[in-house]
Amino acid sequence: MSAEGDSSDGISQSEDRPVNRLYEFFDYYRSEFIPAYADVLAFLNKKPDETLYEIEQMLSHIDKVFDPTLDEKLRIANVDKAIGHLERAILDCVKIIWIEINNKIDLIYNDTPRRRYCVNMSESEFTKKYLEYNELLSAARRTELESVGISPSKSIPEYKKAILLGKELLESIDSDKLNNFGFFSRILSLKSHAISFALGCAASLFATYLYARF
Amino acid sequence: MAGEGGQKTIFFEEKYGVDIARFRSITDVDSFVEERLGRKLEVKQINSNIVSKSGNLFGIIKYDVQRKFRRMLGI
Repeated sequence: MSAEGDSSDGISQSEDRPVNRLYEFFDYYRSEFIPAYADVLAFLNKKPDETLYEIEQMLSHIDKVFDPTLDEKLRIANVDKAIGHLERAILDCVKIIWIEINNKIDLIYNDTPRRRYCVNMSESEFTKKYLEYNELLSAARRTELESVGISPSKSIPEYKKAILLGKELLESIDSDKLNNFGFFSRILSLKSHAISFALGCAASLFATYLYARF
Repeated sequence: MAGEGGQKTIFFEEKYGVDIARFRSITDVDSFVEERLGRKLEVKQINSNIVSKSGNLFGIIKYDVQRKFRRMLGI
């Protein structure tokens, strides 16, 4: 980097405006993108492909900032494009967490017995929070769609707020109860089948007896 | 850029008991998580129309270069 000059953080600042703008880019990268990326990894234990696509795009724009054949205006435009990709990368990280949380919560919410017996809060409270969670997500999605092409990051705080509530719902699901529930529901099902079978046998024996008698 | 100001994570710090401010790049995060998992991180394909494809028309091919190279050389 042809960066020269003084800076309070010990890194030389440049006289070059596009390079200076890149400092802002990397500040944002460290303060917003890294936490969002770390969250996805902590949740998935895998790297999401969407984020990698965005990083690839960012690099191609950053490369142009150092292209001597381009004028200053174009180089600054490329920093802005890199920032746009960074914002979308953060948004993707947040949305991926939302998708994954949703998949897990929906499995419980759409299964009445599990919702009733495998959650460490009352069913009505769980339902109320689930509806609130969905409302927050809808609001975030609306904000996102309204700010397409203007500011992709505008909806990020709203998504995060919804995810926090989703996290609360997820944490209320009791994994021990969930595991035991599968086992006991199978036993209950076997029991009810056995009772039906026994009742059926008794009824047919009784019918045979009545038929023989009369 | 609509920065939120806060640096805190929703899951990462709670799960691993570390301060995110320690991590300055994706490489820092990757190597830390890989160390905790005890394996290399894989790429997960996110199939959703909610997440953007950032203009990409091409999919990703999983390509184990080392294995293919070893096979070609017969070693």
